Formats: sequence, C-alpha cells, structure tokens
Amino acid sequence: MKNKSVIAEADDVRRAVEMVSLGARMQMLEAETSLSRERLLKIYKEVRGMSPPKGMLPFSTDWFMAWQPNVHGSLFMAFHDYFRQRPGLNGLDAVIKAYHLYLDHVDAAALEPVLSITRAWTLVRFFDADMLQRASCGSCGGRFVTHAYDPVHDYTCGLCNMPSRAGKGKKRGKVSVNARAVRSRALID
Amino acid sequence: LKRSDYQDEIRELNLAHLMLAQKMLREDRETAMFRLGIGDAVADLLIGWSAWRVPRWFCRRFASMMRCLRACSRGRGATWRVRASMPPSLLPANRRTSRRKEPE
Repeated sequence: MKNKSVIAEADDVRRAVEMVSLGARMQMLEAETSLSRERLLKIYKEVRGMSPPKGMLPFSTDWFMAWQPNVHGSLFMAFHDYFRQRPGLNGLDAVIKAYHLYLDHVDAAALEPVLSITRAWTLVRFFDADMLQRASCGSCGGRFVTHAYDPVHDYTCGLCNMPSRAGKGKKRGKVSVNARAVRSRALID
Repeated sequence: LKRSDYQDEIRELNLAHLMLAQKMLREDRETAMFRLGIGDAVADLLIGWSAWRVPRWFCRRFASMMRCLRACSRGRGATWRVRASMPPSLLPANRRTSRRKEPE
C-alpha cells in the first residue's frame, strides 16, 4: 500500500466520496478501495457530517426474498447485468452505475428506494458467491432473485402473484431515504 | 384552410434529441447507452460528431430537402424562415452567408 501511485489513490478517494454520498457503509468502502481506515473515516465524516454506523452488515440472503426487497433487488440486478457485460467497466463501477439507474427509476415512479447501496453491493456479492440465482417468471417472463438451487421450473414472481399484504407493512428502508437525501445534495453541488 | 406541416417542429425536436443524446454519452457513456438503447457503433458515431458537425449535418439533410419542397409549394422566401428558426449559434457563420448567395 506504501508504493501506491498518487493517481490510483486519487481515484480511490473519488470513488469513496461517491460511495459515501450514495449511503455506503464503512465495510463496503474498506472492501472496494485500498485507502486506510483512518482516511475512509475522514472522508465519511466530511461527506456525511457524522460518524459511520457501527455493527455488522446484514448477511442474510433471506432479506431479498421478501416481496418488496425482491422486486427492487431484481430491478437492480437487471441494470447490473447490463453493466457487468460491458468490457472495461470494473465491478464497483458497474454497481455504482446500476445503483444510480435504480435510484432514477425509483424516483421516476415516485417510490421510496428500498435497496441501499450497501444492500445492492451485498446482493452482487451473493450472486458472485452462488448463493442466489435468478429465475424467469412463468407468467411475465421477468427474471427475479431467488435462492440458489431452488426449483424454478414453475416460478411465479411477486408482481404476478402478489401476496395479500404486499406493500401494507410499516417498515421503510431508513438507510435509503437518507441516501437519497444525500444524493440530491451531491447533485446540486 | 390552413394546415401546418410541423416540419420545423419535427426538425427542432430531432436536433434537440440528437444533441441530448450526445451530451448524455459524453457524461456517462455506459449509462447513456443503456438509456438510449444503442450499441457501441452508434455511440461512437454520436460521440465522434463535433458540436459543429451535428447542426451542419442537419442543415444539409433537412434544409436542402425543405428547400426543394417549399420552393415547389410556396415559392421563394419560405426557405429563409426555415433557416431562421435554427438557433443562430448552431449555424456556422460562413455557411450561412454562403448559402444566402445561392440561387434557389
């Protein structure tokens, strides 16, 4: 890490700032950049004006199986698929670009974002680790996130076969609302 | 009976769309390609066009066609209205003056 080039470091700082402004947690910053923890903390505090939340990242794939997170996660993965296939785009850039597109689409539909950037990043990592797969809905043909090795020959997605209490829950993604506020500020700057 | 042909509006809309596509591609190539639904070849073509060349291409394609059509239907003078509806800043000055000398 000592012999790192200045340009690569500047690139890392730029990426870290973008990730923080999208609401990324420290774990994601540490995994995706080669900056020291102290510098990342400084960046975080400067961009968000507060200390990063402590604690572990959510590590369960089950979160993506609930109705709303599943739809949002599947939407994000559809965007991510496109960017992953593009040559010359590394993994992190693909996640960031796909997440920007996801936020744009959620905004356009006047919805609350459910997926935070950290969740989206974890989702991609789950796919890389073969813990999740995508199944084609037999009714609409869309591709949705499911557990790996689940039988999918008669899969019906959450939009075609809505659970009766879909969207009635009180729980809202609090991270994502925050992330959106920060993002709109970043856009104005 | 007065009937508008919307050609001016259509051309302006097309030009605006083209310029917007260029702007999007320059800002973030991959996202713009996704949004516009275009491949590498078209993206390269659009990015390659300079700010000067897009209006010129448009002038050549549309204004010449328009000139023929309007000369037939309405007679002289109509062409200059067409060109005047282009934002003047988009038209290269020398081209504008040289065209003006051409007989219709």
